[in-house]
Amino acid sequence: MKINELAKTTRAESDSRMGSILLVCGVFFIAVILVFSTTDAIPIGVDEGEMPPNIKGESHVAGTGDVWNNFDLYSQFQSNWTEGDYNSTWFVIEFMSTDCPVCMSYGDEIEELSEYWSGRVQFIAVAVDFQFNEEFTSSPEEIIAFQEKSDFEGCNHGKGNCNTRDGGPHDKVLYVDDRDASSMTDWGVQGTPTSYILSPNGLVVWNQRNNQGQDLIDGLVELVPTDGMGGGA
Amino acid sequence: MVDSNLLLAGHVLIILSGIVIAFSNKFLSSQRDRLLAGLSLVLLGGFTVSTHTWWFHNKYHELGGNIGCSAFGSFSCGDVLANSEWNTVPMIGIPWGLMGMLAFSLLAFFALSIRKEHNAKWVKTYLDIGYVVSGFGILIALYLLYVEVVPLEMTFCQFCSVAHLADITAFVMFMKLRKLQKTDQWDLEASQDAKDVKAKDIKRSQRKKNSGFVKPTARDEEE
Repeated sequence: MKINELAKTTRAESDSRMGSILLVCGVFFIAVILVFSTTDAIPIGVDEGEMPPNIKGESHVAGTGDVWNNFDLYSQFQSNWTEGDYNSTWFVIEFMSTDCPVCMSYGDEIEELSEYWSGRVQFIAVAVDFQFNEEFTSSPEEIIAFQEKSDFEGCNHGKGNCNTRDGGPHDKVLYVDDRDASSMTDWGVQGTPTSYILSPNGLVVWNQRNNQGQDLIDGLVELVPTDGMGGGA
Repeated sequence: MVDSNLLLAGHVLIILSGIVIAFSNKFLSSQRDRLLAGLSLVLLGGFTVSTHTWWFHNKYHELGGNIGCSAFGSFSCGDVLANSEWNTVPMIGIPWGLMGMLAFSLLAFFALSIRKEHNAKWVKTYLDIGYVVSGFGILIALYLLYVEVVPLEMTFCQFCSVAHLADITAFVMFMKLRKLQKTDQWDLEASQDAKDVKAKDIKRSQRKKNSGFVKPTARDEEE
């Protein structure tokens, strides 16, 4: 008799728990389905089709002295952009270092591209320091000198003058201070220069790492519409 | 589109009605039932507001840019949920809203199970786990409050705050339930039965002492 009662009690207890778990799981999955069916989340990342991590810091425009302004990459995006809208601004994100010799010699190409695509593409140079290399340490003055191609000793491994960089001043390029390499880490950048093209709504459409053998200019010509622009590529 | 603050008021209403039911004598007959019914409602409110938070998180990623919740008129919630540095659980990487949904679901499972079988052997264990989980939730709420105050420079998300309120309330209720379980108040029917049995036993032993003689009552004498 006692065994029967015990069996009954145990069965009732497990039934009550099974009922509760079914109810909770049911409500949970209905909520999950509701969220997924009413949103279309885009994953954060730097591969094509993903939303890149935000870049926050201070930015400098050439010719404005030593004035640095707050910068927030996400605030630049046009979230309601649709393909075929030719009046929107695309973005090139260029991770670079004032102490990187390749960036020194790449300066002329950046200058030409930013001049040509002016008004259609906003070039953003993210100036980084390499945390593990003492030769890759810059200062706000050094970044400005690199941008404006002015007289300043300290570029190119700290041994060269910034005015020896190839090309002219980067008047159309916004320079962002990322000397703590926080954005560089978020974006998973391994070295400089590394380029990305973002559509006006902020999605990555071209990642240099995924397009080995293709130059930035090829990516721009392929992806960014030239309708309404003067000149030719 | 329904204003998000109106929906937020709906979440708050669910939680408040849970609190009222739990701590008012007007509803249900026993304190245990009131606390468990109130707790279930509070956890439901916590679950719905967490779902809403997760929805905002996803909506922000869908829209891109610095829109977040602010486009839907909910103060600075977007600045918190849209911030990719702080809007996910460290190490795990899942959104805080989804984490809240999981936690409130677990607690709701405990509350519903206990409501159905309040005398089961596992009740004490479930109450203890519920107490610890909701207590850990308070630590997380404090961490997120620190994030809102220091790194995000006094930017608050009211949806997150309502979820924290639900967790704190659940913690208090689990604490009260644990105390109640140690008293006779936990199972009034059983304790009443026990009292009746005890009274009968006393009467029986009294009769034995008197060798079966039962003293006539006033009514017997009248007859």
